[in-house]
Amino acid sequence: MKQETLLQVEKLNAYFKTEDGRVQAVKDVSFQVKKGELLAIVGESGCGKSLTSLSIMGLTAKNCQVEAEGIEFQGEDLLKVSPRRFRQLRGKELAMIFQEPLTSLNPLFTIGYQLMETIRLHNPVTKKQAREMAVEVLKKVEIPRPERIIMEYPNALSGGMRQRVMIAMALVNKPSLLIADEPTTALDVTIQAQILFLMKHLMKEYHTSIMFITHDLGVVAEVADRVMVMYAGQVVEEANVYDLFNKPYHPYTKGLMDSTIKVDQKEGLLATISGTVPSLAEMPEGCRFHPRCPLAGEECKKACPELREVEPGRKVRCIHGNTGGKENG
Amino acid sequence: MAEEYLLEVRHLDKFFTIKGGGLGKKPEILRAVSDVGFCLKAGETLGIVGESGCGKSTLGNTIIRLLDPTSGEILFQGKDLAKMKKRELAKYRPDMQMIFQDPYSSLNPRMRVFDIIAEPLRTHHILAGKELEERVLKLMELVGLDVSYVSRYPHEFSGGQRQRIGIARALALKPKLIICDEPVSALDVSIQAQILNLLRQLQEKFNLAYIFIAHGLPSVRHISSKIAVMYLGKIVEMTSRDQLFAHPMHPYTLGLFEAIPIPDPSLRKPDGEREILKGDIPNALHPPSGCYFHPRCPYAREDCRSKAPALKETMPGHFVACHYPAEGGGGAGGE
Amino acid sequence: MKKTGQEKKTAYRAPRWLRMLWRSKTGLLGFVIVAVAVACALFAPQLAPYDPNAINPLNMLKPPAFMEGGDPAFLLGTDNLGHDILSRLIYGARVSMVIGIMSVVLAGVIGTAFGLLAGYYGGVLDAVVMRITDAFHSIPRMLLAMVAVSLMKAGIGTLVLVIGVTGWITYARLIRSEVLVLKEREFVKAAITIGTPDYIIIFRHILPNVFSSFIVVSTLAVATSIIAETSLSFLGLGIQPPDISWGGMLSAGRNYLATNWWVATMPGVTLTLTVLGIMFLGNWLRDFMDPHNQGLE
Repeated sequence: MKQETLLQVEKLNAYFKTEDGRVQAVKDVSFQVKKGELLAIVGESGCGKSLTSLSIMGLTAKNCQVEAEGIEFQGEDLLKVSPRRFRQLRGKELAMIFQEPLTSLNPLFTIGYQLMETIRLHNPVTKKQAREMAVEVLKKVEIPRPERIIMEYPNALSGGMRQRVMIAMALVNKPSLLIADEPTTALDVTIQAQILFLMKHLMKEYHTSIMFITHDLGVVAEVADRVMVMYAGQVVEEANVYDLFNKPYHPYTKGLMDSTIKVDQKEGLLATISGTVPSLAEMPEGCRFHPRCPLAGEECKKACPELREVEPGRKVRCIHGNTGGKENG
Repeated sequence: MAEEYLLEVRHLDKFFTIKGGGLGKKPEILRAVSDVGFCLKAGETLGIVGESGCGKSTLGNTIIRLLDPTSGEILFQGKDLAKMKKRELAKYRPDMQMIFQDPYSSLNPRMRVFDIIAEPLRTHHILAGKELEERVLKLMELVGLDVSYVSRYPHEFSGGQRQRIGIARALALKPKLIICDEPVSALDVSIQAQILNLLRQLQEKFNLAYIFIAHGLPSVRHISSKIAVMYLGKIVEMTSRDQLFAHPMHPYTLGLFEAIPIPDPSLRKPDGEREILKGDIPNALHPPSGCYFHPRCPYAREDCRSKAPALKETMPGHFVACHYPAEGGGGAGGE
Repeated sequence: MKKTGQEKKTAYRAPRWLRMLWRSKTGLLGFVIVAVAVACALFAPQLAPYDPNAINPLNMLKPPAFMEGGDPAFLLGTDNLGHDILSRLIYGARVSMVIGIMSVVLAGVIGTAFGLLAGYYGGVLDAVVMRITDAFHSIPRMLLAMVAVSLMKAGIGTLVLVIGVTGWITYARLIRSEVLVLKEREFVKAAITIGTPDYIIIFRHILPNVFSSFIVVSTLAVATSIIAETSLSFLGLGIQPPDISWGGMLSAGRNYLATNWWVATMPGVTLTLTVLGIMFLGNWLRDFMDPHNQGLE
């Protein structure tokens, strides 16, 4: 089955300007999101996963510079479209939700007002129709008594409810791509489970693709179709979710899986990845993971390996990865 | 014969008075911790799990007397800390230490690592000069910190390293009990495992007792010998770790289990087969009537609405606060 | 093993504050203005071309050098008594700087002490201190100055006292609110569980962490104090002749505004520039001390 490509990112680079010059936070990131799929981007803090998504949305901070060979979304290059066209796309075709729903909602306006504003900005409808649409979409995200909730202010809602509102706001214009940046990290476990389920469900109903950014491999395993693992600003592995969890090729992916604490964890000490994530200004020479890697040899210190396709649809950035890491996996 | 407990908490309450907003509103009472009791022996770990607003952090802060309890007893080696005055309490402070959640806010940004770790020893005039220096370096080694970093400032360290500094500070006074308030939840996945391993190794080495507060079951399971599950200020289930995982009885505990993401896509359940807890966590200021959990409970019956269940020993060593514990019980005996 | 980031130069690197100052245009301007003002205050006898109090009837009301009829010997002209305006401005900087800084030190010490105690201990003490600040807020500074001047001798000491005593409430409020936040920080809790006595917590854990806001507010407060001094002197409640102050000069030049505008304008412009410079420096300091601006270092 061949899926249509929705978003194609080619060689995305992002830099931060600091007092000590430019540091690179995202390096040569290329990937695609296909229609109807959920791509998870997973990695630890500072790996560049959030910056990648913000770059696509054109929402990076002032001191950040984004360069790319192309960010093609439905046939348009987002780096070249006019600001006017970009505004049209954002909110209509491209939507985003964030980790902290409270800061993404304006505390001075009611939920209904903000929702209706989003609707009317992109649809030629009357106030009354917009209101109906707002109630409708709040029902879709399973908010109880939506007719009352639209008159409430954001601070009257719980964290879970706010995230539901954010999802409603993102989906109300039926976007083709939803970027979700750690949407459940700030929520409690039971609420996280509800939101994940809801997103999976709505994705099918609205025919939306999702780019899901998270640090939690458990969440990835629950929701993703395809996974891209990032480390220190680079993509280190990309695979179908089942293949990835079945046999991670990159030692970092494997380390991350082993150190994730499972409910059925065996007794004794946990497996860990030694050391810490390198800072942007002090990237190791060669493979960026080598100082922490159990498989690292002399070659790994010399040159950074390329991201190679080792099997159809499976890429890995490791010189040990071509054997599929079967012996060491 | 009563066993020798290090810490015994009995009927502990911690209420906050919330001033009413606006005119004519009466102050309201928030029951953050209500009627909590448990025992802890030396070298044991009690894990306390619950979601936001369940009072687990308030409980930790109250036991260590960062907050004054409203009522109840905190017997530490037989002495009741709950009613002690500041001066008297100072004698017991060294035996009970705390590790905090946020490695960024738990270290004074204007102090060097050496001074941070040395502070407890200086305060209690235990060591000085050369001896103090040696002891600080030894503590750094103990928690896996490079001793050459001794004169650096906290901001030069990563989150995991900062958490190690906090652990070294807590260990300086050779405490018997350490309250760990979500010590790993702010850390990256690969670092969480490192810190949990460290805590376990230190426990074995010094026969430490831990109260390990967390919002997730996986990390609590890894480190605890006993687990208490809290919901809206009350313990709803408490038993040994193995018993809890083999036979969870309270429907809320079951819900927590169900909600944990499983890091294996091949075990993914088809849509609709998972029993996800419905509804929101109620506002602790206005908890539901009867059993606090009844609006979200899939097994709730009529009397759950009106009558609050007490924490009862349903099986030996297994305490549950539920009228119908066996209903949802994953293989629990009973009916 | 470590790659030295980007094209990092190994040559001498100026300290961080200097690099940041260099990059901020307004900050640099402020720094230069303040430096000049301080230099004038410190080295007035060396810098001033004439004795500021030397009366010279032959050179009365000479326009500045750049104007028609101006004398290059009197760069900014002379006033109605033939005083060299530039020399008087340089000497006037002394009064402004001394009062600006001394009154802020006084206000800062009183305010910080009350703010720390009120914030840390809370309860009744807090309520009392806050009510006192409310009371002080409602007393007009001018009224207090007039009373003080009528009771004591007008002069630098009285001015410092009046401005300092009315200024402490700003500090008390600021420090109190900062302490309230810091008190909840976990390192303070850690200190409590260690058994650290209160005074050590206050001096070691809280005070150093309010220091940066203290410095920032103080800089801006110096500017306000200088304006307060000028207005009091202008009204005749502050510095008395023959002591020289910008406010006094303004007041003296008031009568000649229509005919000899420079007599009042020169001290006015000097005052404005100085205050602006201090404000610029203060704003830059605020950015500099903000931990979010410390870059990816």
